[in-house]
Amino acid sequence: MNQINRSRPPLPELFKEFKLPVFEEKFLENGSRVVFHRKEKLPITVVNFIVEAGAKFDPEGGEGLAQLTAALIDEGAGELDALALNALLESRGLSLGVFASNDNFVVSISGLSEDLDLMLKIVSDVVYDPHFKLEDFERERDRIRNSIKQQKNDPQSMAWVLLDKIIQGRPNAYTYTGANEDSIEEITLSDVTFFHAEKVEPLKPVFTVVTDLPYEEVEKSLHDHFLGKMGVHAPEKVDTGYALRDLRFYILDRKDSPQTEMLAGFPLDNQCWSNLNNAFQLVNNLYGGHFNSRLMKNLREEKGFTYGVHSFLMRMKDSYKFLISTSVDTQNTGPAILEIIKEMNDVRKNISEEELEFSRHKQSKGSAFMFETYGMIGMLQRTIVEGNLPLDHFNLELKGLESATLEDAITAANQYFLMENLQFVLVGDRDGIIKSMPQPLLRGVVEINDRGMVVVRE
Amino acid sequence: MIKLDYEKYFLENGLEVILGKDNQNPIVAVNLLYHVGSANEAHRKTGLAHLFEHMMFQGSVNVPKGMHFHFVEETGGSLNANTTFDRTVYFDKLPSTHLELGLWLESDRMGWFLPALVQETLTNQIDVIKNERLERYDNAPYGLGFEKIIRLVYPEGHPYRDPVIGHMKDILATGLEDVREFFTTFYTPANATLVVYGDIEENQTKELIQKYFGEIKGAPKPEPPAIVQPYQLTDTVREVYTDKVFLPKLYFAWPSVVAFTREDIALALASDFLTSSKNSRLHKKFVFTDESLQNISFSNYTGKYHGMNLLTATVKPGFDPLEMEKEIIGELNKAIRSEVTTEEMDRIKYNYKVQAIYNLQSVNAIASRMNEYNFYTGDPDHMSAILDTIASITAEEMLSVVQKYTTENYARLLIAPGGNK
Repeated sequence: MNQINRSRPPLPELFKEFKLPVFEEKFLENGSRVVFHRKEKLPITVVNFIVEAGAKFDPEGGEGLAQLTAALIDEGAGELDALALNALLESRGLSLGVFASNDNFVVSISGLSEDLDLMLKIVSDVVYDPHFKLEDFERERDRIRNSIKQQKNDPQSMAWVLLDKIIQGRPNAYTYTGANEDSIEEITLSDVTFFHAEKVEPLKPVFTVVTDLPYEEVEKSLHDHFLGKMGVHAPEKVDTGYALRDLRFYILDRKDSPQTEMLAGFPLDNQCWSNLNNAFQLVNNLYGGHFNSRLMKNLREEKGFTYGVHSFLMRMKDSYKFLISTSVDTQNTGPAILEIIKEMNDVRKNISEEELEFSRHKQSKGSAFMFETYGMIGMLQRTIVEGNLPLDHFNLELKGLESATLEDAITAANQYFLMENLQFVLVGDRDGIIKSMPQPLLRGVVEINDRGMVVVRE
Repeated sequence: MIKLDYEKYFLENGLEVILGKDNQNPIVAVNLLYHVGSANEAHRKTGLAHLFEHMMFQGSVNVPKGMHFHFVEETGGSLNANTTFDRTVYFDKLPSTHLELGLWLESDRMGWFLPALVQETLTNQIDVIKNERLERYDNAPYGLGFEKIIRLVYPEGHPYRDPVIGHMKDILATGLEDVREFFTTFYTPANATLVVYGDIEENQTKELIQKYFGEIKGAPKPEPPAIVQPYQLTDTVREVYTDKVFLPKLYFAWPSVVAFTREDIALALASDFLTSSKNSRLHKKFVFTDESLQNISFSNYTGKYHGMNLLTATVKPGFDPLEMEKEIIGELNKAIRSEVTTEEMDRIKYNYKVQAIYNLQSVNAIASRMNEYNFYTGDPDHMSAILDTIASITAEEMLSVVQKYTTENYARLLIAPGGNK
């Protein structure tokens, strides 16, 4: 039956060169920056409006304010109330999203290019002429209030909320609601209008645009709808320094839970990005960044402890987080923690050339995929703006990945794989988790409640 | 603009092949759909189709365990698989210079999977799936809702009565012989369709497909499950399940129709009319105006052999879920007997056109859709036909279809707070 030689994978055809596009940088009359890319395949346009007015500007006790502002800002704007605005969007198949990340306040719209002018008018109305009605505020706040309560029963949500609180002192708006049970009650409509007037409106925005249309058309519409409205100020500086802590295992008891949701991580300063970015990406790849990583091979394919395990870097403007996420059956919680630490330690000691080369190929050869859809290009443009990166960042990154040596990788692993500073959040059955943990780990166990407060048992 | 060019043909062993060319980027999608899902499973063998989604990555004669991932990821490509009631799909997205690699990998596990099958990998993947089930269903809020509502709406023996992932006791009891028999029956060339879409040269691609798949031995196509004849529930059935949740959630289900029929498309339009946006009738009433629900969703959950209309609603604090049941059913009946404005109907229809254009962006998405459309309708470019059907469906027709399939009797599940799961 076997007529051809199947014993080795076929060799690829000759390499087809794919040059990553470099985004264009334009400026409007008022100096606002536009990161532009023309892609002519389909009549689709994606626009992002970005100002640095994210959750890091939430006042103490008012966590969630940036997100609540984002939730409310498109509930009626310009001449249209919430329902009429929604009807207009739907009538043209437009998709409008507003969100606050840790750093930024972003209004994103996509649709067919024939509606470019309408899309920009809507974004302008939403940002500069929102209605902020009390009834809309009450409705959105109630929705978020219930979401906060709902997420208390979701192990994955709670692991994220608690780890963010442990690492950076508050839940990260990027992942969940940003608010907590107390802060959502404190925020008033006046707080929202103040945040909008003081933090969002006065700033000079950056736009990203990917479209099949020529820039001249985009520029005209941007001028028509934004000139005279846009602010001119630069964002405030906020101290977002995070401290490293000793290895700890924070348990949120979920009695009789058959599985433990596990999220572990530590913060990193932005030096890691500027100095050893590319080498560290390769290290993360081989540790837990893909199907074939050491963690996946160990925890899933050898031991069957989990359905999946992933490690990743989460980038913010001034700092980064390194995170590991998995769910394991309760009795294997302790053994899984040991393996996660052991693999991290092993990476610090030993990376093979072959492994590094695989990691490099995984990261660099798929670069053409990143530019396939308009939505993905819009995300890449946002990455450039939010990270304050050069326009040819992705080309530079490719070169950096190609040139990173084994020595660079081992240096990065030793410098930034801070296993002694890992903070584990374990959401599951407390007794089962503790029973599964070997004695040396128990010294680092801290029980917490769903607000992150330490629980002391008799 | 929305029309896709393709070529469809069969190999001698029965493998169906669909090719499409798109040279915009140097990327190719290899999408292999096996015409087997959980609907094909025997009684007390639930989860086998999904188990295969895992086992097919556990090695074949020339591709050792783990190396499928390795080979694809080494090219910068991506891969995965998924299983539904009806079918199992394996997909690889690769730089187009590595097309031959994708065909080698997929053909090796189609032709040479069984000799590499060992108990060790089966035991390992059963453990993995046990954890998958815990993570996604047993230990997740409302995670068992779908599993419970299908048991209420579908009778004993119905092909969609069991969850795709399978029941835990069946998963744990799966043996090597079950796997062998399932593979021999369902993982045959005649029971599969291969779509290759992207940056290809057609003649060369055909030669490669013949080279790698042509020598795999053919076998008769297995008998599919029978299409379920339309039926209605004779009584309203209600069940309450307590779970670790904060808000009660209601599930209502009615038996409906098979996928991609005119009635199915009318029901899809109805789901937009009822719940898909702020202005949709039920959302506007309960989420926006009354603020009695956190969310509401109506969907037509259909397949090759049957389907159901599923309405779900999460009830806010201060509202009695049993009272809300009456309100929701009352409002549903009111909405589907009301006048639909031209603007409402135009909005709904226009969104399908826009979505169809959006769906043309990625070769993986196009390959996947071609395979789905072909599996359900025999036409890989069925999007054009769907858009024509949508254009011809009037508001009156949409309402009459949704009236027909949301009858007086229904299955109702209430997931109530208080459980200890």
